[in-house]
Amino acid sequence: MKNLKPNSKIETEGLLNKLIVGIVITALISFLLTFFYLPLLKILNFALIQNNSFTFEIFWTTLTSSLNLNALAFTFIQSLLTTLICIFLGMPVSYFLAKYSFKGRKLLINLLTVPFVLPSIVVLLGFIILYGEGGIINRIWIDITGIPLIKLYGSIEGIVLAHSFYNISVIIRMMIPAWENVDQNLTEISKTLGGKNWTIFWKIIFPQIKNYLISASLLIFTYTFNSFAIVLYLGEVKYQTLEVRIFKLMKNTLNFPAGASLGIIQLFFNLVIIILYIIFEKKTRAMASGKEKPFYHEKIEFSKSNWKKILVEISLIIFTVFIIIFSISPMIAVIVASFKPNTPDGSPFWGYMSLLSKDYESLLGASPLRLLLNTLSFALLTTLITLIFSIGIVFILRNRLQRLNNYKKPFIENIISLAIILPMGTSSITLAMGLFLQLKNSAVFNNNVWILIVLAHVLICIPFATRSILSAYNRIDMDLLNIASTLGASRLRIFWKVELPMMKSGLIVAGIFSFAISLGEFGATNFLARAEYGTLSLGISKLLSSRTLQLPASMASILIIITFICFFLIQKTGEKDLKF
Amino acid sequence: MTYLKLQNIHMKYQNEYIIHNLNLSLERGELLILLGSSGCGKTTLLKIIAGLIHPEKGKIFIEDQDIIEFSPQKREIGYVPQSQVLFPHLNIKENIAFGLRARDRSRSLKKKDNNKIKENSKDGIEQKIQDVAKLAQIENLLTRFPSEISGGQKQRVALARAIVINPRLLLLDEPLSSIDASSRESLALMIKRIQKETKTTTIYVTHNQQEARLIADKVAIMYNGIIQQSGTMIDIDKYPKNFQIAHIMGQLNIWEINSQKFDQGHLIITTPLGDIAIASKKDKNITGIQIHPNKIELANEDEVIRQKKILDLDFSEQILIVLGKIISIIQFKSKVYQIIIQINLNKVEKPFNYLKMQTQDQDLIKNLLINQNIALKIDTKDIILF
Amino acid sequence: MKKNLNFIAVILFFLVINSQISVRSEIVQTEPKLTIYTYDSLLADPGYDFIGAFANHSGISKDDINLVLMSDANQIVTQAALEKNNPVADVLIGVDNVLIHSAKKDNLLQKYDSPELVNISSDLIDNLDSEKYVLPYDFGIIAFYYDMNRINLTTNPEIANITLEEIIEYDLDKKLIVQDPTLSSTGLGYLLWTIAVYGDPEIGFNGILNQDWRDWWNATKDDLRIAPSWGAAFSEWYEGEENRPIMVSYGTSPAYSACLYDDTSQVAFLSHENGTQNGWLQIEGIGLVKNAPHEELAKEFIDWFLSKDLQDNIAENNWMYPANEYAEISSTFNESAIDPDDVNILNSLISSEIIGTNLELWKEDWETLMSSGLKINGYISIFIILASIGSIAYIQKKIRK
Repeated sequence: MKNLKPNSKIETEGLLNKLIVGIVITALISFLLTFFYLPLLKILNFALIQNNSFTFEIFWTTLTSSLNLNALAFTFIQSLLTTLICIFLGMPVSYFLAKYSFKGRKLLINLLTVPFVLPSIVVLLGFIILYGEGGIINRIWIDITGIPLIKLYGSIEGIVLAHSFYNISVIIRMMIPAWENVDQNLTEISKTLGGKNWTIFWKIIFPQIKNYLISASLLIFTYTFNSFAIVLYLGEVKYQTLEVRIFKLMKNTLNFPAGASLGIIQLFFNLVIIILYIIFEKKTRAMASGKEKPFYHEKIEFSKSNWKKILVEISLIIFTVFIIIFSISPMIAVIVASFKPNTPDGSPFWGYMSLLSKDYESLLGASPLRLLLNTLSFALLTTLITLIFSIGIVFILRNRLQRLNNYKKPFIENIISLAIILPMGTSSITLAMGLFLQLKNSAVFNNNVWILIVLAHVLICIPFATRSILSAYNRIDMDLLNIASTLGASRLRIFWKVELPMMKSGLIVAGIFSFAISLGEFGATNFLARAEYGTLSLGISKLLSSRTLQLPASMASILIIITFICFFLIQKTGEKDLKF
Repeated sequence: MTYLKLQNIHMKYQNEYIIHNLNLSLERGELLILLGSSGCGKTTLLKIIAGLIHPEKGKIFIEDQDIIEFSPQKREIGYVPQSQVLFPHLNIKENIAFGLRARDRSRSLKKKDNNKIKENSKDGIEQKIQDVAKLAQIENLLTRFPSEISGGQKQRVALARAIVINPRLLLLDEPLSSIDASSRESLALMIKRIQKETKTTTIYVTHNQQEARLIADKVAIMYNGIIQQSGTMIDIDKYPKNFQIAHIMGQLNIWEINSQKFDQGHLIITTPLGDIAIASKKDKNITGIQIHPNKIELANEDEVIRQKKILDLDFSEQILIVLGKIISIIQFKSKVYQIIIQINLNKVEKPFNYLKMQTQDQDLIKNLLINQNIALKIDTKDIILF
Repeated sequence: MKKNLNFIAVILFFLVINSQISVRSEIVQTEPKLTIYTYDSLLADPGYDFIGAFANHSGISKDDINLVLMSDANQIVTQAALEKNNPVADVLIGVDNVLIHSAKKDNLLQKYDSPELVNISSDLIDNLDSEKYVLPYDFGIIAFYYDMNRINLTTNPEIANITLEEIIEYDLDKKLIVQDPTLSSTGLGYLLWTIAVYGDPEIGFNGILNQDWRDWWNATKDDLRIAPSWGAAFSEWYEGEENRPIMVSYGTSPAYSACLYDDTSQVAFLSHENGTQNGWLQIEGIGLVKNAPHEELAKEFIDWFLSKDLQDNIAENNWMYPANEYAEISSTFNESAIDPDDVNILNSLISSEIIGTNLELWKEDWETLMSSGLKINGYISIFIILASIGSIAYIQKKIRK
């Protein structure tokens, strides 16, 4: 009590810090509450409350209707198939990319990641051009054999093919660190002990990559589980995911209670998968941190005789090239189609010229240029809000870390980290449905629906952004923050001057990722958008059934180019740790 | 007058006290070496002093001002942690300026103290950085980034960064641990020199007694959560309070006592060397013994035989005979040789027990062979008890 | 320098946002005086600018009319239903004799007795909606439509007198594009065609053949291509990419190529159960939205839309028979199109009460049976989930050992 002045100073500083943390927490919670949890409650309300009384009746009839059960079964089966195919196709490639070093390896890895953020409608367009019954592949095949090779519409193979295209990048990206972490010494020791190759794989290598493989598979499973655009267009009526079912119930039949019930069922499965994923991802992190990086990246020899080794290497290379072609060809097909006139005397630039014309205004709800502007400004806004939000989350978690030194775990932050998991497990259609049910009679919905579209995009992007920023944050040495505080920097100053600059690459990646996701988001946008607030993706989807693919292909080419620029920027930051 | 005083510091970690009622005091301008084995709570203590961890109980006074409730920002304590952490996104100059700028801002926000503002103005900061850079010999590194300099240089920058804010207290946590052996000594001496020149009161934590011997004014030995003994290096070397301290001080030829009893004016102690009887007027509690390497001689056959005869508890002959096998002979200093002997006791309890002997007798050395069995004699009067 | 860049980025960002906001406020300022919801192929080929014509007729500016095109008439009704409490549209064009049941159920429209109705046959009015919530503007028979260059009586002589059953027998379903009845009005018309022909034992409706319509769909579902809308179906059929030369369209569709390109290679046909030529008549109607924001102008528009002024353009732009009896129809049109008078109209078999009560059930039944191709029910899928979770746990345990 001798020296009051410094004491009071600390208290004001502590108070200021508390105030700021308080404000951030309140802002985050109220954001989540108004735009996620209340809409979620509304969904529950629609599903379970009829005429002011609680009833399971609608929920039950929805669940047991054979139409919905079929959709559920199909959702699971196609997810399972896609996951298996992705593992099969992705493992050799990831092995090759992890174990061999060559020029352009990093670029290749980034290139293979592009399909993951490619707008789904662009992928769809690419697939129709490439694999449709009149597409290049089938035309060649028909010339040779007389029958088409791939049936794209109304077949499970078309859907699984498109989903695999999307998700191979997940398995490649996530398995590369797994292969790199495989302890070469263990394999060699077991070889000297006379282990058979197969035994070595199962007993030595597989346990080391297992957790990575499971978490990657779970991730692919969720993404496929919640797939919308591809199934909506390729599945015809025969194949529907829960996501498509919900959309149809909400938009075509206007059966809101049934849609809400189905949404809850979907949310339940998603949560189970997400929680499993979080558990396994933690394990992989524990594995990675508990181990020194192997010093040398030598090739595993599958066999001692040399020609076999060369054969394996050659087949690996051929396989990788095949996957690269598979991953890139739809994009190239779209770009080529954008220059291919419908009639012999058409201009190759007709598609791009039409972007400036007003001819398609009635059909698209707005001029193509307007759609492009919408798309870009939604994406920019989404990125901005998502980043602010994610930084806020990290700010709170950071405070928790600091307090961890006091060996106390505050309650509120645990709630926050739990509160973010739920949006992670919510599909875009369910997010949009919640916002729609909550706000469908409001002025915002009627006049400024773009706000809701941006909000839905933000909710979709936040899990990606937060994880990406957190992974950068966790690499900061705690001692550095300690030093900064002993040097007299206030908590806020430390955040601005030390933590934020050090998270920069994570922030940039998070921002670009959010931008790319928002750019091509289809499900929620399609659910919410009206007339002049459409995006390019929506425009493309409306033009899919038009007689010329040149205009939609031109629009899609623009999206492809922007996505590529995004990934070029990510490549520039050098951030390796991409979070899906 | 006592400058820094720690009083009754308690700290719990996972329901176990790692610091239990710790007291420590320090004079102004002093350099205290806090010596203790790894994991004894030294780092935790430093963090408590720096204000990064709040102790369960206890008070910290600097110049009679209790700072326990102060935030780290307010304590004005320079802290250099074990890992070499510099802000990777700032160059060396900006790293050093970090504290000055932070202080500048908080000060000018708080009150209009004209002198201080001037002192921390742009030119003032620049001047201070140049001064401290000269002191730490890093003038030519200022524009580089942390990733571009060596470990030793990093540590010097970290030191400069801590010292430039003119701290009331400087805390160094194992500053040499991640530096390669060749540059350790020079860095240790530099720390000493800077400390003397700036007259900064400093606590220097290490587990390495050799490092301590290089620079210590005063040493405090810590284990079991408290300071066990403090004083000058020489004092502690001479009179270690117990075996543990002698062990931490890295002394040669020390053994722990297994059991002891008092009998007929003799203390009979059981040690890894065998039972030893030492003349003593009264019973006293002993934790360990030490035999100075100079005080060991080769025994001749007579003495060995005699020793065998009088095994039946006749303690008049105050000589200890130890049998062993030579493991190595090295020239220790220009004329001093060190012989390492493996003691072979008849009972094989701890099979490997070594004794170091130093001698200047060149003739003796010439006659000795590796793996040769020898007998050593030690005058029990020369055995140091503690 | 860095700070400057950041600054510029922020400025650019606000510029973009600002431009967006200004574009939007402009739209808000030019609030339309009339909003029309219709489907994208209305009067579209070769194209008659009915908005411009109406603007001329009424004297309001063309920019004051907000025309919203949906991919199918079905969407018009659902969109209007979504906005029921806060209507945006004034006029719905394209609500046909089946969709009217949904529209009525949702209470979307208000009755309007247009003075132009005197020129429209009362049969047509009554068949569409005797209560006059929607008023007929055109009609045509739903029919199979094919391209003789790709399929014809020489390659497939069975077409001449085919029945729905024979479509399965001769594998024509593999060459057929139909529309999804849950999304498309033509698709719905075709669904009712099959129901009227085969009957529905579940509700005791006999139809012509006293069988079950579900059997036909079950037999064909793996071979059919189901397009989401008539437009999508037509572009696929036209492009020929899907290699399907037959689609469900209108009996008037052949008139399109005959009138425009003097090409008579495109033909429509119907099914011939019990020796008669059977078809489903689609009557398309225009309706006034309940609580329409601009009711007066909307009424004016409807009157004009049913007047000879516009109806003269129906035949050769919308390729249907105009409702107005005095509207002009070219002889080429009459020659190439199937005249509803020559057809056994199946609509008379199913009363509008039956349609009203069963429509939703039929749609759901249809969707269910189309989607049950997996032959795996939901219980098995739940079993698969549990099994996969279990196997993960098992592998986990085994490896730990």
